Amino acid sequence: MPHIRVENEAHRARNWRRVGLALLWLVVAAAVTGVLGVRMATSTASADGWTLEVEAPQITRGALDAPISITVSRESGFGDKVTLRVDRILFEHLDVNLIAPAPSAETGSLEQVEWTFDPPDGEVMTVSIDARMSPSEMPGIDRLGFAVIESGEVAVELRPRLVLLP
Amino acid sequence: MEIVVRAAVMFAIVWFVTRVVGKRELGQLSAFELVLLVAIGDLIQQSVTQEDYSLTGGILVVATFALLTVTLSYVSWRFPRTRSVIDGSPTVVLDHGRPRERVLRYERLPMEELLEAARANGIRDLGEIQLAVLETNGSFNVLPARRQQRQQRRRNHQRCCADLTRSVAPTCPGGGSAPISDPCRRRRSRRHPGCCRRHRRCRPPVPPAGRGRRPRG
Repeated sequence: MPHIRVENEAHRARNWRRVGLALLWLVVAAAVTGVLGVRMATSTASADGWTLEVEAPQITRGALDAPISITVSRESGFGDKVTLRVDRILFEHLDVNLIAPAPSAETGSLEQVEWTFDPPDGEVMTVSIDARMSPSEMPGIDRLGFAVIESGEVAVELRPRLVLLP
Repeated sequence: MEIVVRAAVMFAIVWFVTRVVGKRELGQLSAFELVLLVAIGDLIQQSVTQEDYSLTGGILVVATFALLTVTLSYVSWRFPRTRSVIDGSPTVVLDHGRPRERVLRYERLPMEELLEAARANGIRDLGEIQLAVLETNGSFNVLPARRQQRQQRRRNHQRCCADLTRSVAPTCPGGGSAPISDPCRRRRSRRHPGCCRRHRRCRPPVPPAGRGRRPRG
C-alpha cells in the first residue's frame, strides 16, 4: 500500500513548498534589484588637480558585457601626454575588444600596463574599453586598479571592486 | 534584471502561443510537431539567456518560470472566472452518440481522431458514447452510455482476472490459477480464488507457451 498523505502531512508539505517559493521570490527579487549583477558602479578620486572617474562593472557574471569608461580631467589642462596605468588583472578577467581612443604608446611590466594617450583639447579625456567577461571566469572578488601617472609617479589612483558571480 | 524580464516576456509568449494553437495540437503531436516543439524550446533558450551561460543566469530563468507558473495556477484557482482564459475550457465534441460537427470544425478535429479515442476506451460505435470531451490538455475523455458502462466494467474485470492468472502458480481448485498479489484481492471469490467475486468463474489453466492455437469446436 503506498503512503498516502493525511491532512496534517499535506499541510506540512504545503508549508515546505511555500518556503521554497519564498526562496525563489528572494532570488528573483535580488536579480531585479541588481544584486546578482550586472551592476555598474562609478567611482571617483581626485588629487593634485587630477580627477579620475571610472565606470566599471561592480557585480557581473561570466561571458557578459563589461564596458569600462575612464574619464580623466585636469583643471589646468593636460601636458603633452596623458598616461594611464591599468592592472594586468583586468586582462585576466576581461576579454578586451577595443580601446577608444587607441593609446599612442603601450608599455608593460609584470603586473601593470601603461597606456600613453595624446591629450585631447580641453580638460577632460575619456577612454572607453569595450570588454566582456571571460566565459570561464571563476567566482570571486577582486579589485581593478586604474591610475593616472605624472612624471613616473602615481598622481591619482582608483581600485574599484569587482564581484564575479558563478 | 534583464534576464528576468526576458524570461517573463518569453513565458508570456509561450503561454499565448499554446493558447492560440489549440488543444488538439497540444494533445496530438505528430513527429514533425514534436521536432518543432524542441526547436521552439531551443529558440526560447537562446532569446532568454543569450550569451549568459552562468549558473546564476540559469537559476534566475528557472526561478522566474517556476514563479510565473505558480502565479498562473494561483490566479486560476483564486479567481475561477480567469480559468477559461488561463487554461481554456473543456469542449464537448460528442453528445449522446452524435458528434458535434461544428465543434469538431472549430477544434480542427477530424472524425478519425474521435473514433480513435472511442476505440482507446474499448468502444466500437460512437452511438455507445454518452459524452466525449476534449479536455484542456488536449486529451479525450469518453463517457460510455450506461449499458456500455456496465459492459466496460465487466470487461475490465475480466481483463484484470486474466492478467492476474497469467503470471501466478496454478493452485485454484477449479483448475484455474490463483493470484498471489493483485489489485482486486479483496473481491476475490473464496470458492474460486482464481477469480474476483464479480466474475465468479474460474478461468481455465493457461496453456504453456508454444503450443499454438486451440482448435475450434
